[in-house]
Amino acid sequence: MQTVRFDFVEPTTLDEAVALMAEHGHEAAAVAGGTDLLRDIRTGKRQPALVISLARLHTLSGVRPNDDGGLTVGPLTTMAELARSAVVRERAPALAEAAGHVGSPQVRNRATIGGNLCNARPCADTAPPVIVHSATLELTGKGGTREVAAKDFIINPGQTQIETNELLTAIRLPAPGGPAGSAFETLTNRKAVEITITSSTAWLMLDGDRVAQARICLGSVGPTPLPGLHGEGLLRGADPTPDKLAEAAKACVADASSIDDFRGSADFRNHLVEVLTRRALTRALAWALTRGRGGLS
Amino acid sequence: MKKLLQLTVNTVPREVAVHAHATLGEVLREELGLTGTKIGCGEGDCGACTVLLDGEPVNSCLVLALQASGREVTTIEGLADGEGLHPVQAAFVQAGAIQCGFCSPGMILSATALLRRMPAPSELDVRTALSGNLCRCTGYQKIVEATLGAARDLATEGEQASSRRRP
Repeated sequence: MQTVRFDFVEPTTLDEAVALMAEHGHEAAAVAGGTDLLRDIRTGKRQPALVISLARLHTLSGVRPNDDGGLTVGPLTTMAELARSAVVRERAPALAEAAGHVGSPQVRNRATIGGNLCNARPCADTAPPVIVHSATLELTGKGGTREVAAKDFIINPGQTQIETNELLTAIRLPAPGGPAGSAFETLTNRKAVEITITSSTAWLMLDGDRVAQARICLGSVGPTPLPGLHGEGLLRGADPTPDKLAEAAKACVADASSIDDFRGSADFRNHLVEVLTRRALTRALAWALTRGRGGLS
Repeated sequence: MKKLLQLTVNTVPREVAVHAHATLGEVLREELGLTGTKIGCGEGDCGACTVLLDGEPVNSCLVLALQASGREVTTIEGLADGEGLHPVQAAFVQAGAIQCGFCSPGMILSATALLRRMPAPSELDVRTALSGNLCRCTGYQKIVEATLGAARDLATEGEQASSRRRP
């Protein structure tokens, strides 16, 4: 453990925060909940001269349901808020499940979805749900805002498309065009305060009895969250029988690039990809069928 | 350079000069003398440093003190009413849920926050709420029993209080 000295500012407006980011560039670190940053500072991984706390930017917090059935999630929304939000559980169940799985109750009361996405760990649990829901991320810098698809946001471990002078200011999940559902499945060595060994997140949209679109995202089996392209391809237009879901889950093993480490071997991870993807697809389908019957989308 | 921090600790408004890099846990212990808050791993894994920030359990080793500005902090010292133990503390003593005691402040604060939000939790609710607090002595069983016992005690107290209020 080491003491790193830094200065601290807590701006109250987005303009002020963006100006500070532009002024201090690489010397500054933005902090939301701090559950990653403070660990990184203590272990010497990061040594910022200035910590810019975003906690008082209240407009960046909370979940807003859109009239069309989509969701706008503020990046400062905590994992605890996401996990217990009725509208997130309804419209993006995989995201509520993943957020409810992060860390411990204490960590979930501090950690934010924005921090989880921007830190871009291969095991970041909220990234796959945001990706399968085809979210767009709004980035704000001094020159204005731009949008990036969530699937393109994370480039490498710890590296995203965000520039040093930009902040993530909104996460937008569009309304699906039909009855849809999603689910998140993960395995960890113990149930709390653990790092995901492998996760699989599935999103399905139905057209009558058939799958109109499927999206699968695998976590902790590559440097970034990986799309389960082989499984998605098999499901498009298919009759979603249990055998078909199992076949698609098995096909996703080819999408993983698992490695051996102390949490599990590559073989074990590949096995988990199949098992967890099958479970995630099964539950996502159940959600979509409920929506179809209830006339909800 | 130190900065002035104003916050409420155990219902008392406090003003203290702190380093920008100081954590809430360090300030509680070293500046305010509230050593009931224990610092274990310093990385948010063990939960020994748990305090309530605006009523919600957080790891005080992962909160910068200045981030608590204007907010309300409850430490283990804030639970007892004078010499009288808080019902959750009393239940821990009663059930033998304390051995070395290092995890107890954090454990009791997590349990207290749970019972405020959910007065009649299931065993699974209790285990989930305490999942961020590690204990290396007790094996957790007595801690879970103590929390469930505290829920029953608080419910009985509540019933007695409401029957006293009836005309």
